[in-house]
Amino acid sequence: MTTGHAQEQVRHPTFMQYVVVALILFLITIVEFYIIFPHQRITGLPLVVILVGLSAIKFAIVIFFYMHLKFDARLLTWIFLGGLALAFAVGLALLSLFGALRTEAQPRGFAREHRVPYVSDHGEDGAMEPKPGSGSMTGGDAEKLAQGKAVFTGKGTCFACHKIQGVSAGAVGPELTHIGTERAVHKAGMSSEAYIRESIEDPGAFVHPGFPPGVMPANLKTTLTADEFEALVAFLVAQK
Amino acid sequence: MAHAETAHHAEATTTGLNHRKLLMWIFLGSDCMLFGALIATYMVYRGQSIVGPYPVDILNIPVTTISTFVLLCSSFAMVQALAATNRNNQRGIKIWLLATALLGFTFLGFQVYEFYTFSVVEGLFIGTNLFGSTFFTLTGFHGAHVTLGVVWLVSLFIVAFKGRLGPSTALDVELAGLYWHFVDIVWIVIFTLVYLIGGYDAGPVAAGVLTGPIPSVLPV
Ligand code: HEC
Repeated sequence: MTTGHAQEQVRHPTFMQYVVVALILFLITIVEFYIIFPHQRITGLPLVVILVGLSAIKFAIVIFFYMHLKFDARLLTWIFLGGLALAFAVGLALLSLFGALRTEAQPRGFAREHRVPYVSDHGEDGAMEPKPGSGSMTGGDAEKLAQGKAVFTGKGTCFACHKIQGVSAGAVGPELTHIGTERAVHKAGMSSEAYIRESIEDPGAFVHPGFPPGVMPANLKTTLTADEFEALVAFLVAQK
Repeated sequence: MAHAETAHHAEATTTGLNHRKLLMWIFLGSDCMLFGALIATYMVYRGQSIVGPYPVDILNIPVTTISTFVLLCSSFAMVQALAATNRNNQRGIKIWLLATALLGFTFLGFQVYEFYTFSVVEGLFIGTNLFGSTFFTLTGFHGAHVTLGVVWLVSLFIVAFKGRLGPSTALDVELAGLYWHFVDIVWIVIFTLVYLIGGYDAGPVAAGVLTGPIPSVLPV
């Protein structure tokens, strides 16, 4: 390797070496994808450490082999790493200045209280699905929703504990006015329908933060017919 | 061309390094700072949007993983273009340069598709929330870099087509390559932070690692 003077033929990796490098980069990307899709297999700090580590390896491979810093003059490496270090310093300074480096989940009152649930026009997972009341609904759907509403405010007794704007005023459990879109906040990656089913079948599976576990009866589903239960779920999914 | 010797021939400079190459690396070092600031800003405002859509609602991780592969492939094609230039393999130069440019163009196509679905279809614009502002600024600057790279590669391809690229002008290809690989590594970082680590970010309730409380400068 040269140290600054006469740079005769700089050695470049061979074709095969480049192929191997490319395969390593592919492999790391596949591993990264597997770790987080279709759901995060690791969470929290370990996830961040592992993914940042993997991408740092890719980063180093590209600059040292593809950009052949490994075979080039040292000075170039120092110039680039100098800029990179400064960028890191600026980033860390910004993050700590804004208190974004804490490792525990922080309650964020302002944002939480002012958040507006996201209402997609496209239903779950991009599938086109008409919003209730958007006109394109079939008569059967409307009937089902009406039946679900009747179960909610009657036989199911849900109304006694849950508020839905314009439907009920219960205050024992969390408000369900936007339950059709709120699942993303509770369980990322789960569809709202699955989340609602789980919440009724097994209320303890995920307890809404700030509410006591064990208060919502776990046997509610058994008091309903299959038809009534489906209608109830459809009604809740439509609360966006 | 001016220097008929090999491109890597020592020049009479105090560092012993070619000025153009030195300048390229200084530029890349400083470009790190541009992206460092944009990425840090994204991380600072991560999870602080109070209206949707949130990342979990709209990011399409499989599609972006494919476009990441496309960019990795283009980096591979780029090193082959440089190797062909050094070997004076005229056909190889043209094929690999064209492949690099086309793959870069494909990546841009993915980005156009992504921006279109996010904005027109899902309603996330640069002014919708903090996620939109920081996301579009960050990926937009990266996309602009890729666009410039594609233009550069296409013009090199035209030069190659006239048969003017070879060992004596290998530095022309090498510099474009350095820039192109740099764009690739910036994407490696963006992909990791925005898509892999932050891809499941939802509203402000789901606070987690590397997120913090609302800064007190906000009007409450
Ligand atoms: C005795 C009061 C009570 C009744 C009756 C009740 N719930 Fe609940 N529900 C709660 C409480 C308390 C919670 C919060 C604790 C938890 O998540 O398990 C809750 C949570 C939920 C959740 C999850 C909400 C979220 O945002 O996390 C759903 C959905 C739900 N209930 C639906 C229903 C339905 C449908 C019925 C009627 C079949 C019903 N509940 C009847 C008290 C009740």
